[in-house]
Amino acid sequence: MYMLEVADLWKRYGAVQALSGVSLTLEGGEIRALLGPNGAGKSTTVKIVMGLVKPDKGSVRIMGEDALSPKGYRLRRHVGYMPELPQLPRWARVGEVLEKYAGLYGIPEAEIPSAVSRALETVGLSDLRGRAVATLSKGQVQRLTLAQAIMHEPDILVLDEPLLGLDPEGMDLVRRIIRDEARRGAAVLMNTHLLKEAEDLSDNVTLLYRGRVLFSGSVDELKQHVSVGEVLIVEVEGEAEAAIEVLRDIPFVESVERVTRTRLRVKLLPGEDRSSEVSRALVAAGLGIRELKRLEPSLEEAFLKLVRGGEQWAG
Amino acid sequence: MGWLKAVLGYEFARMRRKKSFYLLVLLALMPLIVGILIRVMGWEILEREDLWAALLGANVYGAALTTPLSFLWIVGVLFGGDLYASEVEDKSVGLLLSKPVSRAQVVVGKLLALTLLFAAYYVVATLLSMTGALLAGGGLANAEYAPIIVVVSLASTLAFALLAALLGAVSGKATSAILGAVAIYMGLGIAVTIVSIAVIGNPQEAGRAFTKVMMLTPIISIADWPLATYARFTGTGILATLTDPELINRYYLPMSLEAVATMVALFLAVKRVYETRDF
Repeated sequence: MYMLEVADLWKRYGAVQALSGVSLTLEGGEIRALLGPNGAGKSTTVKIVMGLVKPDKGSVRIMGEDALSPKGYRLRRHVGYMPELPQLPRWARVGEVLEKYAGLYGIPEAEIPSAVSRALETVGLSDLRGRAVATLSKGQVQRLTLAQAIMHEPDILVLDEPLLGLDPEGMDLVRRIIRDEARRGAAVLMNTHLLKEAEDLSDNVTLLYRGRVLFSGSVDELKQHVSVGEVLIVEVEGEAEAAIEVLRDIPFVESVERVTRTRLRVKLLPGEDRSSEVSRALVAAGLGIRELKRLEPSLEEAFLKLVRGGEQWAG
Repeated sequence: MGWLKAVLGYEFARMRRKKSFYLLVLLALMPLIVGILIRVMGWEILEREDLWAALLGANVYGAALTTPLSFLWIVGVLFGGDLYASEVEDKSVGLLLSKPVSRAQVVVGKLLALTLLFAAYYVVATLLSMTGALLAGGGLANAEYAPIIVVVSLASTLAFALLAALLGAVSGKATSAILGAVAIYMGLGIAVTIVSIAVIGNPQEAGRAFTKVMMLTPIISIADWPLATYARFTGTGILATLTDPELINRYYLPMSLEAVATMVALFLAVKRVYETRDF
């Protein structure tokens, strides 16, 4: 049984078709990043999961049960939601906002103080318990929002841009919390535009484009799926002019870019690892190589390639 | 009923932080303050048998001494305007509705919190009116009607709160909702006045027609409902706007039924809008 199962979601806002048959699943302990350019339908998908937006068609199942049924709201006790900041009630104090939300989660009254203390400690805001929410910094609001999402130890975490507005220390803390939650067994759906974070944190990605799923699978599968070519950094002895000429003659070299006087960025066409062939060609031309290293293809490259492909396909 | 306690707790905490809450406290204290003022100043002309009602806002002098009953519609509009719009405005509605409570439960819980606040306000204001009347040397005549005045005042205030709440639920903006509700009330009042004079012509006859139409026009009749109730049951306290006791007696029941029907319709409309809109 999937902890979260979204199937064939459709949603139209006036003339805009926001979602066209979006589906995804989430298992316990899995971190799935929901990626896509602005307007891809990420937030609409998340809001439908949380019951904030009603779909025109489709289903959402939480812990195997229909979340869109009249009694479906009860299933949200399994879910912790962190919307994009800032979305906390500005009239409340830090401890108070968690107490009120704890009550709404149905946490027994006797357990609320300890649940609040635990959540504040986890996000490093214990000292600010009496502070007004309106006086918090952007990063503190973000951490408090995460605290309210995890305070009831949910089975599913739905996070909308969880790292937005955080300083490096805050980002590190939130990353650690997300990993800890997944280790505890929670399924994490993370809507983000930070591709590096998605690559580092997530097991799987779902890429949306203009309301459709362009890809769903692991980050490695995504890179293979779009055949992202290798990128080599080559440092030669002496001027790089001769090396550039040699490299441009190699059929599987897509482009050569000069980074410094002696350093080159060489992009290869998709295929097997052929860095050794590049090395041989340079040596055969009598050129000395100080360094040759292979850069891992990034999720960003795969993302851009897929999205550009999607643009061609869509338009 | 854990959800109800949770929603009430949330809503009371929110309302307590509103500036309008302190206005409500001040309005509740007003009858006591005026009562003390009458005593200190020695204004014997004001020491009537039913001074408590005058202090509460009944027009027993042809005008009200204090504001609780006269301006209850403003209080209702101020609190109703942001009842459902405040979370939309500060964008916390997503967090509220992501919790395991239904939208209907949020609608009911918030409205119940407002009902309890207004009920406390009217009970306290009435008790302080009586205390103020005794302090001023006045009387508690007709005090047996105090419970029905409190109930009708509460219903009337809630009706205006529901009107503003509906506009707030639709627009998601508290200020627009408040201004919209005020505009509807005042606009209807002006329209009724103009139509009465234009159609009838004779000012005296127009006055009677105006009274009838005022008592039977939704929304505006609700504002005068508590004062009409006092006038209907005690035979005193003729309203400034409704000047014919015979008409008040004749139209009181239709006026009350219409007020209740308006409240039910407004509540159902608020519930429907809140349950069906996307946030």
